[in-house]
Amino acid sequence: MTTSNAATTASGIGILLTAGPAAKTDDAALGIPAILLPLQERSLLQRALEHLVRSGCRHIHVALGDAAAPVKDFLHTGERWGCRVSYHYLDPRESLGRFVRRLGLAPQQRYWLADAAQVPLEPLRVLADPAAAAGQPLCWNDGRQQRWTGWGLYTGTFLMTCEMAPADESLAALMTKAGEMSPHTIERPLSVATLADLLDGSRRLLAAQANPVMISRNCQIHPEARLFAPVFVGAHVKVGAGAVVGPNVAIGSGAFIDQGAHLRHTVVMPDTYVGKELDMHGIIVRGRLLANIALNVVTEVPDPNLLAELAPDGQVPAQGLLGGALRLALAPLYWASRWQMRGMSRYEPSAAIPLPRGLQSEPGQVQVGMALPEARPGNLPPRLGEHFCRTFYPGLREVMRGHLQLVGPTPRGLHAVRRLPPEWRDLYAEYRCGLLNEGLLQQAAANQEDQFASDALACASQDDPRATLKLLRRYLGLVLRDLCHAGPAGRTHSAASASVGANVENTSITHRPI
Amino acid sequence: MQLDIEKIQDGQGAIVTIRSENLDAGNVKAFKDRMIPVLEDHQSVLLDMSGLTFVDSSGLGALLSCLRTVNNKKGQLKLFAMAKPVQALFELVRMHRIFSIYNTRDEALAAL
Repeated sequence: MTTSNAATTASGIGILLTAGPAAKTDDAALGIPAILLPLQERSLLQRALEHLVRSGCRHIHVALGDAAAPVKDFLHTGERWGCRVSYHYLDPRESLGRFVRRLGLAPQQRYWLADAAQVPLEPLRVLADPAAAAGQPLCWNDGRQQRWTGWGLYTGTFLMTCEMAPADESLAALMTKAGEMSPHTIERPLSVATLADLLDGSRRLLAAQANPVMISRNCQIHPEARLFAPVFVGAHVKVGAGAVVGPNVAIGSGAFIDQGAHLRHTVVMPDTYVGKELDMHGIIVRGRLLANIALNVVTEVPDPNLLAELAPDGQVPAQGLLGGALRLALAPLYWASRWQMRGMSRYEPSAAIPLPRGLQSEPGQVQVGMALPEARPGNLPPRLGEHFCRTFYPGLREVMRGHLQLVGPTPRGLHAVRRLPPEWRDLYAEYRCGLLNEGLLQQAAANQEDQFASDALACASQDDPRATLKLLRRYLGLVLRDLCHAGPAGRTHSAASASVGANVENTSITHRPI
Repeated sequence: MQLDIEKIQDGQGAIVTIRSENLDAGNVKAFKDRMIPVLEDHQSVLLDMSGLTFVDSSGLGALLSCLRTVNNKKGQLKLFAMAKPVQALFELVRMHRIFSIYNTRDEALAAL
């Protein structure tokens, strides 16, 4: 093996198999093709392409399998990596030789053959050897025998004579042991043949990284969270108080590890919410999909309080359309409620909370705003009416833009929070809630006889559009009742608001108008 | 929700088989209503989980409620034959450290 620039001796053309020998098990078990699952921000497909480009390939023929669309979406023209990419469909039963003949390659030149499902850990350092007439396969030693990595530098003549399909196990033997081969032994490649291989690949990448603890940009890690090397934390990740992360943990960008979660030997894929106090050991998690390697099971966890997929940046959910329609339909009710509440001062209730001695502005206690409703009869704006007028209706605009969800609890990532206008950011930043938010749901939970309460709880525990619509209908009904029964300041609050906010009637709190 | 109850240990214990694939918000109340008399009448209860393929957080809460009832009367509640997805969920929320979980009915019986 020689360290050199291979471009001067090889053809500068590569063949990349995306449905090759190792891409047949557990593929898409986590919702996307395994070669596109990011391992420390870069998928195996990307790593394979980068290796080929570094080895001098400027034109890469990509053989597409079942997962053609996502592969093409990811690679595009290849310009990002400084190469040209051509796409060809490869029938699973088609032989490699026939496929190569279709490409019209010159028989006398050498071409890189690569399998995206298993990729060498280190950049390729192979110089074309004129003595190896057929080719130079890259192999690794599993302790008993030499195994083919799916990679090698082969002559066009040899490739055109391979009459086996890429998924055929006998192809590996041919590519490794055929006469006039000069195999190179490398370290075991990264692989996505099984999910256990994926987890092991993450561990090996962590062991190979320059710093034991890698933290990317714009992360928020709570001072009480603990990280144990080796660990990789992607961009825009948030780690909550008391969380324990590591060793051997890789967290993808935009993920949110909530308070008290304990992660060891685990891969968290990008934009994934990991709930409070969860325990993960030997796990790969992507959105709601959880792969437990020891149990050899992939399961979906539908409870958004445990696992969830955070909405990617810029994605407008289907609720956006509903939000827009509601904004139009509810405009008359909004203006009616504005008229109804004219002259009312807006109250920002507060409660007395003692602060640490050094932070006290005056002896005793300071007033800190809390999300408690004002509770003095005769001086109370209709609770749901005010919620509708000042929170729900203006918030529909953010629902349309995909920044907020209509009904909580729905996790959102920091990137989504950052796009909110400041006043909404203060209200909703980092909380798992929607417009009909946790405050309303919790109060409903305290009064389970109420129909609104049962709908709210059903909506919180199910991901069912019918439950959402039912809750919305009930909510708007109560708002209407509030607005009909409550007049301007000075009237008593309605029966509906009393039922929903019953658990705070006796709370002793102070208030100050804005 | 249907529960099959089989008496063991001269009526002191019972093996309860859950005849449902899900234990979630939809049937958790029925499960608790049927389990309470069983827990009150028996000192040791073995819960056959082999039929369950999905448990949500309210189902986990119901199982915890059963365990609390049993612990209050110094009894035993053991789970066995849990499907892998359910076991993965138990491990995720650390409930495998709270419950006594066995692979088979024989192992659970031997542990009484």
